Amino acid sequence: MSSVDPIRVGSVSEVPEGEALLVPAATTGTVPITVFHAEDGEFYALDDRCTHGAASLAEGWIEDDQIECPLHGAAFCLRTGAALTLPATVDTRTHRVEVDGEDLLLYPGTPASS
Amino acid sequence: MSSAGPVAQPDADPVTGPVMIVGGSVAGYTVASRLRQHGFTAPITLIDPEGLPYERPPLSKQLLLGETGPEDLALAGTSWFTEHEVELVHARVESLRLGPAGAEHTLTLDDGAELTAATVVLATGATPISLGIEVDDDAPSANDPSADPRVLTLRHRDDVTALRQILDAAHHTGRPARIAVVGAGVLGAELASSLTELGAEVVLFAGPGIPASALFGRRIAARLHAQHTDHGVHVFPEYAGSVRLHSSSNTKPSSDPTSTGVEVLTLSGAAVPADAVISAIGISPNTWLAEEGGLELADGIIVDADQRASHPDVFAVGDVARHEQAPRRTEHWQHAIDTATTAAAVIAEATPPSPGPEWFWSDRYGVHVEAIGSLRAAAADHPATGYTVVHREDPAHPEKLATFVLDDAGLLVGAASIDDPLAVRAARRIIQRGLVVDPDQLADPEVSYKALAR
Repeated sequence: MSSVDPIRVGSVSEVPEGEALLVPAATTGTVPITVFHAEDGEFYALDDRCTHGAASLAEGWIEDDQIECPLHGAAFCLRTGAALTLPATVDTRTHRVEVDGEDLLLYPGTPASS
Repeated sequence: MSSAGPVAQPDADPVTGPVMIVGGSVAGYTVASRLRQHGFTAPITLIDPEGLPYERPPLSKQLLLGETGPEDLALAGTSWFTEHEVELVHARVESLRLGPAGAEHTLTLDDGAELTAATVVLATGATPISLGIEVDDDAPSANDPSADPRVLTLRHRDDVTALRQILDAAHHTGRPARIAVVGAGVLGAELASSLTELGAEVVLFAGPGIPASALFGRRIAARLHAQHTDHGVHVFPEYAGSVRLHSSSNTKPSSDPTSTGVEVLTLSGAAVPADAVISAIGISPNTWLAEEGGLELADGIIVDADQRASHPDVFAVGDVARHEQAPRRTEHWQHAIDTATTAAAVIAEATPPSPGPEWFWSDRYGVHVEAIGSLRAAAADHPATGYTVVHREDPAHPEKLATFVLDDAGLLVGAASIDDPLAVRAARRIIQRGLVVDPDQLADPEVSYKALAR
C-alpha cells in the first residue's frame, strides 16, 4: 500500500457516535475498511473483516475503544487493532482516518499510529 | 462440600510454585495465558495428549466442511509457549496424588514421568456419551464394538477425520454416505447441516417434540428444527435406543441401503440402516483424576465461585467443573473461558472479573443463532408463570427473529436470536447492568438495540 493520498469516504454527520461506515473495496482500492465513530468522539478505521471468520465488523457493537464482532463476539481495540478476546487470535490492521471539517478522510494501508 | 474446611481460603502465602494445567482446549489455554497476563512468574506446565490446544467449535462446521485445516484451529502456536515460558507436555496424566494443602502434589504421566505442582488446574473436559451397541457374532469388531469405525462421536480433531473417511469411502462407490445423527441439540443440528452440505444423506434422531426449546426458546427452536426437513434431512421424531453392527465392512458399503452395516434401533422398535452412526446425545465430565485425588464430585468437579475444588490447591475449569450452587454443569465455550479467567485471577491473586451470563452460539444451514442467559421460561408455547416473553420480528428482514425473556420485576433474564446477533450483544449489557427495559421497545424493530442497552 503506497498510496499516501487520503480518500474522502463520507461526512462526519453521516456517522453518529457508536455507528460505523463500511467503505467497500472498490473505494479503498484494497480490502473493505470500516470507519468507526467511537463513544469518545474519535474516528478509527480497521479492516472490516474479522480475523476469526467471515464477519463484517461494521455490523458489530462499538463500546469504549473496542469493536465486538457481530458473529462470535471477538473484540478488537479500535486504536491498535489488537485482538482482545477469543475466538480471535490474530490482530487486525488499523488505518489512518482524519476529520477535515465535515469530511472523513481515510488513508487505506497507512497505520493509524503513523 | 465434604466439609467446611477444604474450600475456605487458605492462609498460605501467594502461590509461587509450579502450576500444572491438565488439559488444553480453550479452558486450559486460557488459564495459562491469563496467568501470564497477570504477571504470574512461576513455572506453568500445560499437559494434553493432543499437544497444542485448539478450538473445538469449528470441528462440526468449518473443519468438517473442509473450510479450515486442523492447523488453523490452534489457539496459539509453539512460539507462544516459548515466549510465555509455558511448557507444553504431550502426554496423558495417568494419576494424581494430592498432598496436604500447601504441600507438593504429584502427577504421573503415561510415560511414567512424574511432575510436581503447587497448584493443579483440572481442565480435563468431557467425553461424549456413547450409544449402546449390539454386535453380530461375525462382525469384524465383535471383540471391541466401541472401536468400530462406523460408530462415531465428535469431540476431537481425529473424530472429524474418521467421519470424513466414512464420507469419502461412500463417495468412491458413487452414492452418498448415509449417516445417522443421534441427538438434535446444538451439536447434532450442526452435524446434520454440515453433512447435508457435504452431500451425505442424513437421518436425524431428534426425539419427540422440538429439540433445544429450553436453550433457544420455543419459537426460535421450532424455526431452527424445521430447517432440517427443509434441507432434506430425514427427521425421526424418536429417540435412538441402541446401534446394531453387522458384519458388512464399512470400507465397501453396498449400494443396498439395507445392508450398509449399521442399524439404529429406536425405542419403538424401528431399525434404520446407515453407513455410520454419530451420537450427539451429550457429554460426561472426565472426573476420574479428580476422583483419584479425592475431590468432591457431583456430575463434575464441585467448585466454589473462585473455581476452587474441595482441595485448596486444586482448581477446575471448563466442562468438567460444576459450581456448587448451580443446578447443572454448563458446557459452553464462553463458560470455559470465564471459568478459566476466574481461576487464573485467583491463582495470580488478582481480582477476578465478574463473569457474564451464559452465552453460546451455533451456525447451521447458513444461519447464525445465539442465546444468552436463560430461555427456559420460553421453552413451552406459553411463558412460564411470572415471566414475560416477547419476540422481535422485522418485516424488512424476515430472516431475523429475536426472543427476550423478562422476569416479574421487568429484568431481562435471557435472549436468543436468529441472524440478529446485536439482540444478544444488547441483552448481555442489559442483563449485566440490571436495566429495566420496556417489553414493547424490545419487540419494536424500529428501536435500536444500542439505545436499549444504554
